[in-house]
Amino acid sequence: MTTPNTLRRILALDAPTLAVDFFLFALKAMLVFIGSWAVIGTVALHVAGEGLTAAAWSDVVVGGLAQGFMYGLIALGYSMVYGVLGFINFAHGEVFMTGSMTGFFVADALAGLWETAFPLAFGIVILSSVAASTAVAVIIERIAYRPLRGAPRLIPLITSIGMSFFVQYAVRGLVGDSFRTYPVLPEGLRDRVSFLGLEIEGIRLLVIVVALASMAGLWMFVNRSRTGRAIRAVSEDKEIASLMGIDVNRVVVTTFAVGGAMAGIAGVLWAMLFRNVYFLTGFLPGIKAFTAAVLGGIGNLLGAMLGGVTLGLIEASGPTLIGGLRWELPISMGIAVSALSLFGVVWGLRIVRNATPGRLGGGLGYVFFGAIGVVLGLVVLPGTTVTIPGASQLKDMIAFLVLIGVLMIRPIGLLGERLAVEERV
Amino acid sequence: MTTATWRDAVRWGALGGLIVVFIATIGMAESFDARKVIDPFLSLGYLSLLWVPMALGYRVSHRVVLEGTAPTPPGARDIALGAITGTVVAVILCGYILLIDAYNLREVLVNVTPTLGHYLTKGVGLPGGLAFVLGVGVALGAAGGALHLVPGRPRSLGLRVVLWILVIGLVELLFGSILREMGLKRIDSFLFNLDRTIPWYSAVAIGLAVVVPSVLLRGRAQAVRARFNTMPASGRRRVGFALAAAAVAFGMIVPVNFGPLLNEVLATVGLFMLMGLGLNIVVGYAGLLDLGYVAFFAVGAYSAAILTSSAAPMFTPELAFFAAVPFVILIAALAGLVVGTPVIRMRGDYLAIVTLAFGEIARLVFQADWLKEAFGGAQGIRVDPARIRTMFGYVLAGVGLIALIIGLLRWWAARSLARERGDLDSRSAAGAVVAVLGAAALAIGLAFPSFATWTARGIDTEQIFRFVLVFVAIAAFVSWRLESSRVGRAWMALREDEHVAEAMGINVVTAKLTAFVTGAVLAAFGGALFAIKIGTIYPSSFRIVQSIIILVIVIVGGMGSLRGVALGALVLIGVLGGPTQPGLLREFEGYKLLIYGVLLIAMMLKRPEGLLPAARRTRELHQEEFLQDAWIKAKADEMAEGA
Amino acid sequence: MSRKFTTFRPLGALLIVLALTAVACGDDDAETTTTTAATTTTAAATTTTQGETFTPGPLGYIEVAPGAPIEIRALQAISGEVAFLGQDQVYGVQLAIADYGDVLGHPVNLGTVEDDLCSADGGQAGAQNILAQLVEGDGGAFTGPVGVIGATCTGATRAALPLISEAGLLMISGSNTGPALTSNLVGVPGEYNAPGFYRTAHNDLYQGGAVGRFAYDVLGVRKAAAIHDGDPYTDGLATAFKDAFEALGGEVVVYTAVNKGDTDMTSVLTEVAAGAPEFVFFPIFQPEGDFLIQQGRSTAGLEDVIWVGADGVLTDSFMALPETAGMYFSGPDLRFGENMSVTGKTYNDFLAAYQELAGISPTAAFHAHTYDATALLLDTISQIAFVEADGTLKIDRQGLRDALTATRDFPGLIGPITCDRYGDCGSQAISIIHHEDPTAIAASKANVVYAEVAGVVNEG
Repeated sequence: MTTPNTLRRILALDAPTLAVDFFLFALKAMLVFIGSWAVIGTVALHVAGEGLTAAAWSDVVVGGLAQGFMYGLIALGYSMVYGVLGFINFAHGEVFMTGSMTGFFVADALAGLWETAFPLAFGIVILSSVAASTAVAVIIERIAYRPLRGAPRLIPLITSIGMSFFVQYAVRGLVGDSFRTYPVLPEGLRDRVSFLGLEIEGIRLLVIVVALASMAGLWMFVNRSRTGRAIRAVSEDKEIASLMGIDVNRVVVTTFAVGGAMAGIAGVLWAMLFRNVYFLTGFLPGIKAFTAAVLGGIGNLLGAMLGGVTLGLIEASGPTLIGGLRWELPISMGIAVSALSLFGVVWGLRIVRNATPGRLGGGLGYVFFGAIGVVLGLVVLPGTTVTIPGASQLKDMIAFLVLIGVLMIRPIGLLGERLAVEERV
Repeated sequence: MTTATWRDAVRWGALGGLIVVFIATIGMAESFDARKVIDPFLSLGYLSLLWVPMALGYRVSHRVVLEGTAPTPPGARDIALGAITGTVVAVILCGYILLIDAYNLREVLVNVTPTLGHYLTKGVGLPGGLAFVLGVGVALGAAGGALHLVPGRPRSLGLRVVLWILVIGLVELLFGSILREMGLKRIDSFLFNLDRTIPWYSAVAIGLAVVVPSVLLRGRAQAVRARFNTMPASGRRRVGFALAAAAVAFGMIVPVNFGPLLNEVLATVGLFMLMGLGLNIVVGYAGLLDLGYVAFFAVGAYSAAILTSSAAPMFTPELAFFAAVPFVILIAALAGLVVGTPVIRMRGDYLAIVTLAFGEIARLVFQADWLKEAFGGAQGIRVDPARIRTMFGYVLAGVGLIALIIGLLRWWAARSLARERGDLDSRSAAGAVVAVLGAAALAIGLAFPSFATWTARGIDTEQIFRFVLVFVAIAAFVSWRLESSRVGRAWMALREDEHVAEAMGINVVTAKLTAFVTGAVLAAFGGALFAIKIGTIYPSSFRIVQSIIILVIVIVGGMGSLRGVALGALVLIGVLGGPTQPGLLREFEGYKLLIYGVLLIAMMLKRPEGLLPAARRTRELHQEEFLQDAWIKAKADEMAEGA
Repeated sequence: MSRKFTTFRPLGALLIVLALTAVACGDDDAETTTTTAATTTTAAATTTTQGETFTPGPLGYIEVAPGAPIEIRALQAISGEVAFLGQDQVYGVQLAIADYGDVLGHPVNLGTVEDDLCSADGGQAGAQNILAQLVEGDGGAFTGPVGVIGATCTGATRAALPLISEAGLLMISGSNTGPALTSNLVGVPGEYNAPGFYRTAHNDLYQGGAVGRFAYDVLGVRKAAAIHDGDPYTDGLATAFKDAFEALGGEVVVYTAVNKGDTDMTSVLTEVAAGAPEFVFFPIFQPEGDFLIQQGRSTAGLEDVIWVGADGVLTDSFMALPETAGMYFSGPDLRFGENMSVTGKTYNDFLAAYQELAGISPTAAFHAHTYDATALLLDTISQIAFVEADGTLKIDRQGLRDALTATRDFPGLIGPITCDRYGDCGSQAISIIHHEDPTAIAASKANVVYAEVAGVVNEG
């Protein structure tokens, strides 16, 4: 029910702002709608006995977790550097790749030991990979970022892009562009083991365990140790930290070193799971990990882990869920959608009547899309089938859409920013 | 006054040694060997090594001049230091040669071929070869140091000669084709051997051709420059304008005479320039870091392809090119809104990641099998030659004429009013934009006067180049006028501080969306031209790397500076090439991104404001109000001290 | 497994193609016996043209001064992710030039290899670079490149071909397989077909058809899945398979794709497993192929599936993966045996020379095709070139195209080469191998379980 007063307020509102709010609401509503339809559809498929088997779901979850924990490990590096220096270190994916590549050469040289005493060989490979990654991260900081301390953030960003290209193609020039394949894993890791009711491949379990252990270690380091405190202090305020007697340069180097070490661990795990590595191995995982860091709340260590795992799970399960769209909505479901939408309309009208101008657009959005929802639920949806052939092709798209949706609803990521960053545009 | 010591020489030498070893190890030296620059002395492979001791030998006794102290006069000391540097470089290289001779490193380092040691000693063999390397190192280092003894003018002349020879040697195809197109086939066949290398006598001839006119015309050039510098600002602007107009006119005529290869390169450069200009509005003016800019390029390409091509999978209106342009603009503007709206309330790096996400989503949508019926999926869409109906051309010319007149009147009126009141005018900008758009429409309309349907084929680089040039000119003009318009000033306020801008009464939402939409439309022009030029579009032409390279063009050229963006595109795309576009230096293909990386890092460390920074930014630098600009100024001061 | 599986369709298609080519090429003697290397002599060509006067065709002619080299160019992907494919072919070109030797007394020069960057832009710019070396003289005379060997990637060819064709040059690709570049085998030219295009690689429709027939007829499979990676090549091949398999009466239950750069294949494997196929055809490349097979083997519901890859993963580093045991691979028939090229070399000779030149074994499947493409071009030049009394060579460009189109049973490493009017010159021999032991790759490559020539089963 709109009173003339409400109408006048709507008309008096700044048109662009209104339109933008309205559009944003539409976008959010659409994403949420598709998401819930996908979930409801998948559940219903399951109830109807047409869904995936339990074993398949277990594959999806474990696959997503393993991938996600590695994203999380890499994301830690992005997050820490962002927390301390406030810029995106694009070259971090390449730090990860150099670790993985070094790990290959060591593993290759230790091929005999790899068969006979796997834990020892694994330890050596991890250590050398961590050493290489840490060294590369620190050298990059020394050459490319330290001279730019205090520069506007776009400048180190461009430097890091340059560094990323340089490291990629330097590695290509040094070791060539062929795929380097890690030695075959020992029997035990290739078999499936039963763990918490899930049938997990040994290697994925190893990946998850090692990743969790490293993250726990890092968390302890940052939150319990002296150096960790210094890192947090610097990320709060560099000037004050240095007045308090903290050597900012050392803290920055430590941050890069720790981020590099995490990337090194991720590099070996990655190569053990996916087996091969070449000079471009770091590029996409780097971007995904950066996405994960933002998704979880950049600068926030727990957020990086959570973001990584979320991203991994979405990538693994998203196409399957979208596949749930195939399911035909029965009448009852249509009525349920309509009822929800009607509630939206009422809610929206309330907002429109009472709200400040800033929320008017959202309120109108509720009304408008609620009405559309009622129509959809009653008229269109029952019996509608949407099939998306080749849904797995869209897995990155789904992941990015979720990212956009999350950031629209919660602009500081899932867990929010922890390490403070001064507002600079 | 600081003086270099032998310690510096050793340090620089060690650095040089590492560089030389690195270049040899990544296989650059050997793989470039086939490419002779000057026949028979110098191949690109040796050139990639030899510059190191010479440059560092020069650098080691580089003088930092401090105010109030006189620099030490150059002397034998410079030569000695240079020689030490060269020796250190050579010793490290010798150590490396011995190392690769003793151990087979090829298991890990694939480019350390069995022939590398032989190559590095220029085939002399081991014991003698080391002496040879040492000798060359010392000589080049000393020569580098000795450059300080040469007075400034001959030195710069000599440098210019070397540069010209290298440039002509490296872009021999382009140079040859231009010469032939100009009817100078004789010169072409004199300058180049049959296999397109430069014989030594041609190198000498090029040197003479550079030196002689330079010596003869020395005084005049200086006089012209001096006169230009003493002109009043308005006069200088007028000259600048005339020069730009001349450049555009020249650009319209040149392709007819200078052959397809130049057109091809320039058309590609122009496409990137268009995108660079668009991104410059988003990043340079409004300060919105967009990492997914390629999405708009893709939208432009696909919408143009679907609207004009008969081979589009689902919807084939088969419009003529200029009839499709309004729709392309509309679709691109919508795309700009769709991407721009969700990010309005995001700042900094959230903006970066969300735009990057949109860039990937665009590619994935065009690639999806799901939408294959609409966009062709992995197979892409074949694009027909652009059809231009010239009836439309006359209509365009008529509309353009009217717009020109109205625009000029409006511009004149608003300007004179503003003069009287003595304040800044913003309405005159709008008038000028209308006038120039009108002029452009008139020109396009009149340029194609026949009644028959005229087609611009992608393979006809001359037509494509003119197309691109027209659109680049429009984009440049729009950017130029927008820069000092009200919207432009709103953008810049936004860039400096969003909160303050909002407090000052700027509508942040509108300003941001305008930036996104303008940027999107310019990129979509690029996309549409790209589709026509290439004749076949696929999703894989629109990857993240493309977005990154466009950003790099803007930053390297100079954020917010039109000339900078143009120069950035010319240098990076024209010379080195884009991610999937070969540049003029096609031999560097395998190492292109490596060189890109080094250039970017060096650039950001030494000249972060870009090649040709914006005048407005330079003005702002003096206010020292903003952290960003203050820092850049500090850097610039450091540079000035160094020079 | 025998000939009884031969269906009507491929035979019909073949007949139509043959008929069309016969019409197109006039009364060319159908009874041509297989020529051996020795019969193609340059001397014969020289004597036949002497004494006559040279009249250039509509496209003009290339003039090669006495003693000057005949210029040909290569446009290949020699940098970036598919450099292993392009560089492999460059070696093929270089070896063919070396083996063929002088053409009518003129050496052959390859010049700088242009990089197609595996992209449309790269192909177009590369073609422009090549055309910039073509210098027009008086009266339809040109100096410069006669033909182009390439490109590696279909995308590059699509953008380069219009330029090359328009300029009167020709290009012969050793690796482009998309039907859009030639024809659909039943007389409809492809979207991108243009005069002056030839290829010695097979047409995708033959390979897709062979895999379809192998699955349906030999393995008795009725439900299949196909996976591509969003590349025009892999998508085209997967589609060809889908069409052939469905035409036979089978059902492609899942047709899906991965993205380049994907590592975790859980989602695509779940999607495939949900369709419960018996047979999965994934004509993609490394590294995605590696991830797919490694993870696919341990995916619930895919334990008993038959995995079939194509030439993109027919590499040693892929076949060495333990998970590939039991897989099938389709691809051009690589059993070249004692086929003798016009250069007098067999594939074994070629391999030895390749090793010496490159220092490594071949990295991809199309070097021999490219070798034959080059030899075919050089030999055709030697057939039609007009030799002036002073040794000047005149190569009529239209004549060269016509002669290439009329090629019948040209001796190549890959077998006898016959061109159709759309430029398909491949031997069209497709084989499917069974890979039983990842530690014995060479044995697997010889373990052919099914073979077709131009859609007709000849073994299995």
